[in-house]
Amino acid sequence: MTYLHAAYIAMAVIHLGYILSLNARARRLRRDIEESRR
Amino acid sequence: MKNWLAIFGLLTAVLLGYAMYQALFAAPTESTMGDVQRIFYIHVPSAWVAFLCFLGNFIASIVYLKNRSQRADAFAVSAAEVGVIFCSVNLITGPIWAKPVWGIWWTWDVRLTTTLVLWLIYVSYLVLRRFAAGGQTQVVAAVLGVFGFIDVPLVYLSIRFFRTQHPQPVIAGGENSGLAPPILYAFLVGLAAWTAYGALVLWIRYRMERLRRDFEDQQALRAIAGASAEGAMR
Repeated sequence: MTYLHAAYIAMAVIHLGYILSLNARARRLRRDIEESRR
Repeated sequence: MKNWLAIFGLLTAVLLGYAMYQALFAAPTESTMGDVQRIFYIHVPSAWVAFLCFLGNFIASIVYLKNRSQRADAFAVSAAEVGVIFCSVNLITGPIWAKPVWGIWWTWDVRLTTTLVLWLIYVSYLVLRRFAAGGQTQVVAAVLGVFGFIDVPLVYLSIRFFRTQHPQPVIAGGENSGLAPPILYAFLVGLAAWTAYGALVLWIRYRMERLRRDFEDQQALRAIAGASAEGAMR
């Protein structure tokens, strides 16, 4: 693996990790809202 | 609103794909550094988007301090979070580029140090938002947002005012600076794509923050109404 690969993989991991974290938080919020409506 | 988000998301994905193609395949290989120079196409746009986000945090913090707008506060925290993500990419790709070119991962020169300090300021901001208790957290965070932004021009100007290990500016850096047209084109495409992606993520994060706050307000009102009804029954 070259330094170029390492840099692009690191960038992808950070952004993907953040998107997944946003997704998890949005799911949790949606679940809380639905539970409060019941 | 959701349709606009989907359309913008799709356009951003296409633009990002084109930017990656430009960065990794279409742009010519730089003569002295070789392929590793292609890190430039993510390293610099990441810093640019981080700066924009911190500027957004700065403006929103001033608006919040002026009129206690909850929208401004929600925008400030969202912008700080997205800014930290992009600043992290900048700080990680920098040393990976530095090692083969300079022979070292890191040096405490002014550009690198002020960038690390910038990241630490906004990580502190997020930690403050997340863990501080008490009614003044938003105000304290806004003040930190205003003063923390002072570091952004310091980072930007550091390579102009000081001799640093970090290269001198290649864009708007004077007579001997500049990029070859195909490299400049790939760079500008990358800049546009990452700016669009930053705006998209910020939009989603801001909407989520607003929704969370509305939900918590409703929960609080419901709890108060429940407690009042219970009191009236007694």
